[in-house]
Amino acid sequence: MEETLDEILLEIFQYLPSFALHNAEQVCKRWHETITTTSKLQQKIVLEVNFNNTAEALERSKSFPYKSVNLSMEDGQAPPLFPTMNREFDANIKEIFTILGNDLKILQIKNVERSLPMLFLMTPNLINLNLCNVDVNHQQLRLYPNEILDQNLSYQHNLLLLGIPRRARELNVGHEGPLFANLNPRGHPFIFEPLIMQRNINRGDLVNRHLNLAVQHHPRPEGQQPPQPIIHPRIRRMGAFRLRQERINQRRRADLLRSYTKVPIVKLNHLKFLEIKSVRKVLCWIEAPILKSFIIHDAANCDGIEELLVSTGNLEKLVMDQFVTSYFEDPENFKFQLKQLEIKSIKEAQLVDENEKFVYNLIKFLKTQKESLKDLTMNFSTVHPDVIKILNFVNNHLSLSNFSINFKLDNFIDISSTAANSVNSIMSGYLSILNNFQHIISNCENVTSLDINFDMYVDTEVLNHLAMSMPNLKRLSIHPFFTKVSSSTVFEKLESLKISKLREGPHTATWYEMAMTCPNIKELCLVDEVFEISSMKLKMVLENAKNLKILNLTGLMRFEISEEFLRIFLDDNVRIWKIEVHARMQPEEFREKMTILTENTRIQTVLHQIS
Amino acid sequence: MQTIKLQSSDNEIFECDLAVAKCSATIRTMLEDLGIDENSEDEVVPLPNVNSAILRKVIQFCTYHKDDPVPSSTDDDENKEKRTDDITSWDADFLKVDQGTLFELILAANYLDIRSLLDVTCKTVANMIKGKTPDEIRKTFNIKNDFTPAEEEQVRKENTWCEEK
Repeated sequence: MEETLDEILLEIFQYLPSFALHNAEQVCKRWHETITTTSKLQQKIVLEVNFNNTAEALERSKSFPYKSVNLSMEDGQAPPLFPTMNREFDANIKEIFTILGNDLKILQIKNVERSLPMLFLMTPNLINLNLCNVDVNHQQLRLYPNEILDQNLSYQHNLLLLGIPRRARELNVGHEGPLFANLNPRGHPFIFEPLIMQRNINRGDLVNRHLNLAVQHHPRPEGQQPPQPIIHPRIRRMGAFRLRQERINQRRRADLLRSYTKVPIVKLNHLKFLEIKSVRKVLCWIEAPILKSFIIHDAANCDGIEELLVSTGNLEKLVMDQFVTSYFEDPENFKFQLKQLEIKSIKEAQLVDENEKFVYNLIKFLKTQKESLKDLTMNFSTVHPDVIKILNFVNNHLSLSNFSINFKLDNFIDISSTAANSVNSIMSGYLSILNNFQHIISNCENVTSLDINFDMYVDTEVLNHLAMSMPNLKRLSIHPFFTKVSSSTVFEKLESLKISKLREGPHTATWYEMAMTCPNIKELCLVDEVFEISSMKLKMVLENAKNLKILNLTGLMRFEISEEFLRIFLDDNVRIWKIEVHARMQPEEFREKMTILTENTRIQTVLHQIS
Repeated sequence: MQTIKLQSSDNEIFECDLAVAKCSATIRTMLEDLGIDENSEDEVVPLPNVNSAILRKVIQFCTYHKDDPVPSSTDDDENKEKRTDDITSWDADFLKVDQGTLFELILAANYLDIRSLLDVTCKTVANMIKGKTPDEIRKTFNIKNDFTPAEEEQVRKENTWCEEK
């Protein structure tokens, strides 16, 4: 019974804020004992330390085993550039942390520019660290002289807002200065799992980010959808981009990006996901033994990546803007076995400059991963002949379930209008790929998902070959550019088809012909600048594809819905469950038609505004 | 609708909806562990720690809340600030009882392992503590101050700096 009463007291006390807890502590011995011996409750009892009360706080720290400390200054109380002006302050702080250090679980530091790494070394058992407006390395100030920055931005290097809730599932950190600089490798054992670092966030964004953080860290019971963040993470990143574009001129921006930022990460023993953006150096003594996913942007300009890769034995997903050859000289040093690899851009300049080294190192790396690699995405900005070598290797040696090849020949049109020779050269490479396409796609029985994001000039035979070579293909994204689609071509198991060009021409296959090759599709996604399709043909596709449930229709510039189009769906026999429309221009008439669809059918209609 | 018979400590039998009874994790476990067949009408589940007056209140609470989603507890839950201002008006009315009944309800909720009832009753008691001095708390709950004057002074000293936030 006594034990039960203690349990119930504890249940009740958990609902009390720190002040009420203090009063409850003084009620009787039993309550006092329950509160002072329960670490969960003690963490609510916070030692407040500010510029004026350090002596008093020191006395308190001697009389009570505080688990939580708030160290905060009002603006201007502790001049950042004169850290030794108040020796008594520093001595008291040091003694407080010497007394409480090992037991301290929660530490919040605000408006302090001191030797924080020392504090972290003295508090090895923190579970929650919250830093706000803190500078951890005075040396870095010299690298960000105010005169080169916008006045509003100059504050950023002093701004560091970092909340690490216990067992956080996701943490975004934005700052314009050294994040963990000067932290000793034996220092604070951070416990969050994913980490996204980026720079150049203004103060407002950071505050919002913190709010988002709170929302994102709201407990998510298993099986329950996470709460919707106030702002989607991707939108926040757009905010950072806007800041750079609008508030900093190009020269300042260049200065900003050249700045040296070192990001040593200390014993991230629980880290599972790491994304690094525009960071110049990752110190090589990172330890993240269970890091599963690593995304790096601007890899070519960031030092320490190779060391990081060597130290992450459990990496499963690696995403890089580009394949930096030098990191992969000795891929046998890597202990990890990737399941997923994405190289966002392979450019001709890199293939030419590095001669055969690029292909050699990439293939050497892929060889070390061939047992585990199941998902490969490569985006080519070139049609260099070496691309064929890479694709041939993939085809012959890897057993993939998802292979995405994207060709984004951005300059194709520009060159075609100005330099005939270049066009010939590009077309030559282009055709060499296409000539080899049939060979490339042979023996791809395991591939279930394929993206071909270039205008593929293939004949009926090649398309037929594609359908036969990938019998298990379930998802296909394609720009149709065929001379003709044979009636014998069937993608039997295809469930999702995305076609990115709808316009018809004398030398192209139509979306309709392509869709008719897929009798079992469940989702049809049609995308073009102008969405304008024949209702009659859509109706025939719907009749042919008995399992079609979802239509995803996108008009990047214009979206037209005719009366006939509407009538198809008002027919009771239509089995479509859901129509998603993505359109930029949504005039009233358009919305009215969509409303008719929603109100008169059981089809779920989702309307997206393209911005 | 399946029903089940519950027997209070003073031997009163309550027949209630099975879904209502299963709001109690203790009863759920009993049914499983004791192999009591949900279809057997003669079986009675004895609840020796709950008297009839309290069991009646508990059944009333569970009947009202039987369709509520089951909240799952995680470590993150434990770390977040716990609120006491989110008691619904129905629950507040339900808990307008004397202190003795309130504490018996807490004990019953704890014994029967009914998380929602335990939460709301503990919140109600926490609200009775909040904003009161130690002496007022003692008077509210009729608690004897068993500190010696010296001990009381020491405890008080430890807390003199504290400010309400």
